[in-house]
Amino acid sequence: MSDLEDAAQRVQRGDASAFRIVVEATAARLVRLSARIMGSTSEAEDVVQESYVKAYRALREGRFDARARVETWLHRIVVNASLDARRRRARSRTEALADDVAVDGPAEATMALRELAGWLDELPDDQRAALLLQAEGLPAADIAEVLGCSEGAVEQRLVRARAALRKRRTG
Amino acid sequence: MTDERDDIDERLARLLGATESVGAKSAFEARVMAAIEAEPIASRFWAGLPRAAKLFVPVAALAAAASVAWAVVAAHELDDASLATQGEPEQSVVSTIAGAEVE
Repeated sequence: MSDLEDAAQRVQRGDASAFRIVVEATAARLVRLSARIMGSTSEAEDVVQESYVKAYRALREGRFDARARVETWLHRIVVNASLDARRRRARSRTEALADDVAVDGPAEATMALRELAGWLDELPDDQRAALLLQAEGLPAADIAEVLGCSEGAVEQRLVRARAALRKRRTG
Repeated sequence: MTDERDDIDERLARLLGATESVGAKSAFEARVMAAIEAEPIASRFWAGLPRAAKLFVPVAALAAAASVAWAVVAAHELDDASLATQGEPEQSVVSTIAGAEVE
């Protein structure tokens, strides 16, 4: 059993402090993934924090059935929360990303984050998520589990995402 | 076609590379743990139950309440029946006596 699975079991038994192990092991990747979806690190931190609280509640209330790996399960929660937050933001277009440049560390990374989010903006959520999960190094089987589809569907989404980006470039 | 694909993969690789250093700020983990510690703690009994058992609890409580109500009603009916028959001879005894008189 991995350290993460062990920590999750401890949380399920009531040891809240064990959740720190889960956070320390996954925060960097999850915030980066969410930031790539959102185009903003500060918004990603809010989304990931909210996701951790949801995950913690689920563990304490016995709603994590351990069929999935803890890390894959967390990826799923964060991807869904990030896509939801992105949709909410799109509905209320008033919130700009302008403050990110000042607060998000290296300007180069912030600009790249925004360029990436803008470039992938027109892709459907499932294709964008598949592309970014692949970029995180997740195998197709794990991406399929995160997105709740088959591995074949993941491959199809990746092909379609690239085709859409290509079409946009030539169109 | 190949050039276009190369362009796309190249741009994707460049942007992913440039955002590789993006991550949580140093205070992030402490912030998350503070939020976790602020979470209300569910009772150990309730938290320890599997989900299916949690669904079963209200159903079992309703069934138990219905059983108690039925038992109370049945006890009352039994009491009423007992009171109604007190002092009356049993039907079989009445029939035997009636039969003897006819003979």
